[in-house]
Amino acid sequence: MAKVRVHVLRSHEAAGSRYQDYEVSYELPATILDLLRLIQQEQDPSLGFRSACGMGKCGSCAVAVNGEPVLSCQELVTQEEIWLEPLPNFPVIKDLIVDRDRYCNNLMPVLQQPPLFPLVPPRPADDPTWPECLECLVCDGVCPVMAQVPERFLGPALLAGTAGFQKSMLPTAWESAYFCLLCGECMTACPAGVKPNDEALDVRRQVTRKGRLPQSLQRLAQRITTAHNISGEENQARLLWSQQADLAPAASNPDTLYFVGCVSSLYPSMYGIPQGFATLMATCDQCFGLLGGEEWCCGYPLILNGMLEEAKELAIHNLQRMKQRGVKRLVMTCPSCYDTWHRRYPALTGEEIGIEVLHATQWLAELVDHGRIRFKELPWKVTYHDPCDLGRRNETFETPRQLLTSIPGVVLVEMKRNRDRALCCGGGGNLESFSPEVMTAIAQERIQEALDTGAEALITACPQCQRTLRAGARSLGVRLPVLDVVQALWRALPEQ
Amino acid sequence: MNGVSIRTTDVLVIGSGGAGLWAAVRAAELGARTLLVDKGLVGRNGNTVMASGMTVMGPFCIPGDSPELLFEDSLKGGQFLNNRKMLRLLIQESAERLAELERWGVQFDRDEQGNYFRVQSEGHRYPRAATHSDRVGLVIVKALRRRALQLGVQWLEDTMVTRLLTRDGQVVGATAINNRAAELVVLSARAVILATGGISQLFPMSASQAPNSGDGLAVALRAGVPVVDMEMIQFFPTCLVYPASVRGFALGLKGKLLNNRGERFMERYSPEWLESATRDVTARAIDAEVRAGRGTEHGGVYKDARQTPWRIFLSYLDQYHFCLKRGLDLKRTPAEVAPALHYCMGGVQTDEWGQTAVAGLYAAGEVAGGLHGANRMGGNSLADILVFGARAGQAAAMWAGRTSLADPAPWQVQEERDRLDALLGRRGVVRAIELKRTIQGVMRECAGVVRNGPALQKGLTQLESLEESLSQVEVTRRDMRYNRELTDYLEVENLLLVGRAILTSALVREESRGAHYREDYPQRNDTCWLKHVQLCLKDGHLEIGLLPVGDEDG
Repeated sequence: MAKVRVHVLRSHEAAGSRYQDYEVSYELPATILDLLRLIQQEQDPSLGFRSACGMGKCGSCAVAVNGEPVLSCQELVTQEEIWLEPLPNFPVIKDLIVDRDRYCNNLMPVLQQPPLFPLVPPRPADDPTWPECLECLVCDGVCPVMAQVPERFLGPALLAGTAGFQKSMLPTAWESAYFCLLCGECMTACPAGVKPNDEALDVRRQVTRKGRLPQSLQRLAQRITTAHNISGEENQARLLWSQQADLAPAASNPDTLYFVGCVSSLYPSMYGIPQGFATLMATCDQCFGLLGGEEWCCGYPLILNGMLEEAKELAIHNLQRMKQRGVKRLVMTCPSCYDTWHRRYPALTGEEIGIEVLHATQWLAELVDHGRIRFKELPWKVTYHDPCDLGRRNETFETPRQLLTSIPGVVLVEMKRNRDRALCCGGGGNLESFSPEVMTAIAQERIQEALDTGAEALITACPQCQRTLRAGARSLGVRLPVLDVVQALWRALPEQ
Repeated sequence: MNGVSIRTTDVLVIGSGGAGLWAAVRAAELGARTLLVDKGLVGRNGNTVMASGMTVMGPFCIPGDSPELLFEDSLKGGQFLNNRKMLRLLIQESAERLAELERWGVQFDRDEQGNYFRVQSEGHRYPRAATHSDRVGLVIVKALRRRALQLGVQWLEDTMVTRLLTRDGQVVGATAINNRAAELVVLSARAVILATGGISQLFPMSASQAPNSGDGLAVALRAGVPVVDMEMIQFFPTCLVYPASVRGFALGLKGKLLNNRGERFMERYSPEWLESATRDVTARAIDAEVRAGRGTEHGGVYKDARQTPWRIFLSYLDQYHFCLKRGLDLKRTPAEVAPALHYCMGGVQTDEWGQTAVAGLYAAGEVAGGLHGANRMGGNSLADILVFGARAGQAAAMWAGRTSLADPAPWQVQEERDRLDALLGRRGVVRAIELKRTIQGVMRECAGVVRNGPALQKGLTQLESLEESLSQVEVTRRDMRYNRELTDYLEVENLLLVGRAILTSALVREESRGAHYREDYPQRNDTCWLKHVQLCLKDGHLEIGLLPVGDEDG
């Protein structure tokens, strides 16, 4: 028998919500649902929660365990102290019982939209491992956008649950597809292995094909297709950061090329990232080349717009330049560029790219490991924000953390939501162009989580996250420095 | 108590597993205003969502198989107690229902050549169960729930029906507790369909954690509707007995059964069929091995799937992962299994349209009785809910179309209101949940895999004395919002009545047949017992009737 302390957030109509504490003895292994049933049967029949099948099929029993939405019947008890809350983003009826009607109310018009069939998404019939959505709504519970605009956003459950349907005719559905951050948290949380993100992307493709791309996104797309960068400036401006830093030009044809990316090259407030990276490389005599004005946007924002053909043109241009220069290794400080090159270029062009692709943190970790870079003592309490494209999408969680803690004196503290359950900064999925207000609201939430840790700085590894989080901090009026890992390391370099 | 609210509809469907959903869908398709109520969430609360295979006959049968062979197998499995007319319809119409599901987008498993993948269930000579990975029930429920939404079926969740309302021998609706609104609701309807499923809560070890407590059986009995075959309770032979967290989990995955000496003991009990014998035979064999001291540490036998082909695992993939997560790797380790309550073959007596003895009242799915005889065959239950759910929905819609809406008798509503009002906030010395456990213990001892006269009689006496302690049950809160103690109390009332029905029928049937095994009458006796035991509640007593089998063939 094992013992556990359970704190359940209970609703009290008059007095608001508060945690009630229980101590439960149970036989191992046990699930969260086992605990709830024990409490209700042995200690407190007034405790409200939902459950039915107990085997992960009926999808009734979603709750938040220590802040993470899960199916309570599938979640084993592994800690001695547990906090249970109702599934977030839903109105609470009583204790852990939430009102799930919104899902059906949103689903009905989709189902009544001709053609009337199919009612369930198609699947390959010869693949028994194909994931099946349980409609448990765990994904809606983790969704950062659902937390902000539940009335305008259909939510990941509905997007995934109606995959393959003609949703692009329904304004609510296409608006939802653009609200999606494509942050992937729903995919991590899904107990059945469904991928709501991919469906949002698919709806975007359909909407774009029908010529209904929202105007703000059309403007973004136009800048990229004409100027080949996201800001619409003269593409030669991409090298301004290096001129300012007065860095020596690299050897003419090195094996390694640094693909700087639009955000770092074109927003002066972000110059610190490439400058920091270049300085770090210089300290250990690593050379790299730059494409300068020949670097085109990697195509990521266009892919998110559902404009695959246009993105492919950019990919082909960039790949050709690499081939011309005989580049063997490509390094990026932007995880979105990294993800695009690493995972999406092969899909777009239909062939392997034949170049090693690295995120800056991965290369830096190698150099630090080999003792090529050393840091001075820097007493500094920091927290780390996982960029979606580096963390969830490419499972690089520990490398940036190890880099930070390789600085003597740095204390790394974690936010409530971290690693594969990290909250998106708010800047994913082109949301900055589609709905800056929602973006800022999500960034504010993340800033608050960072403040709660008591950290002196918020470190991330993505220029877009940095911009978004800075905007969040600014709008909250708080002074929390937001820096990239490379900037943090730069700061810790011994004075020459 | 708060006020009473009233909801009016043409067709009221009580329970929203596969049978209830299909009934609601069919009634709505025929133009009836349809209201679906469930004491939990629609489609999620019953057992259908967990089902993994559906017996279907059609042009896609395995070569050599035929509807006639399925009829024979099912009749033999049911030990000739089945309602033959309904069995024929089940076999005839299951393919139509499957085709309908496919029109709605459900894609059953197929191999690379496009042929349906079929799993062989217990007692079937051929593989006949269509699958959808390990989730055929889940997908069927999902498609049906969506079809219901599409058709504008109304639903009321977290609402437990407490009583059927009748007037002049005709059903006019029901009373129910709406846990969400915390009020008593009068559901006024032209036709009512019972689809409340089975009796999972009646035994301590049940193959399902679903909160079914025989509610439909109990309200029907109290409304004067007869039930049949209540002694026929199926125990799923291979349910996990260990670890505690998964106790009762029905392990459908195929494997060899071994006792603690490593003997494949089914060679002795069913040399021809081995582990594919019907569930009653295997359950008794396991029970006998354990009783003879050849069981495992936790009171079961081993199910060894180490040599089961991976393709079979793929049809039980969720089960496999479920166990794996809890430290049991079925590919490497045999599981400890024993029989647990699975299915109630008996139920509300109906004709082939689900029509009961009360005009306007229909029943479909597990709550209905007669179709499966003395032993239900694997996969036949999903076919049952589809075929007879749809039939009941159709018949109820037709009936509603030619019946005017009658107001429920105010005295009946008042009586129910007063009864519940007196319960709320009542002080007492017994907790309903404890009573529930006591009832479960009685049922395990007296109405399990092996039965005998004295034990059944003792069980009946025990349940009758428990009825007397009902007045001592405490319901602390007066608030009706998700009042667990109130729900437990009402479920206990239902379980007691249904338990009595099971014990009474079992005591009457002085022979052994299918799932009903009497050690004092170990032989099947076709001379005397090709009969259904029928029960009717009159003034609190269960009156017994015997109906010859075969009359319904017409």
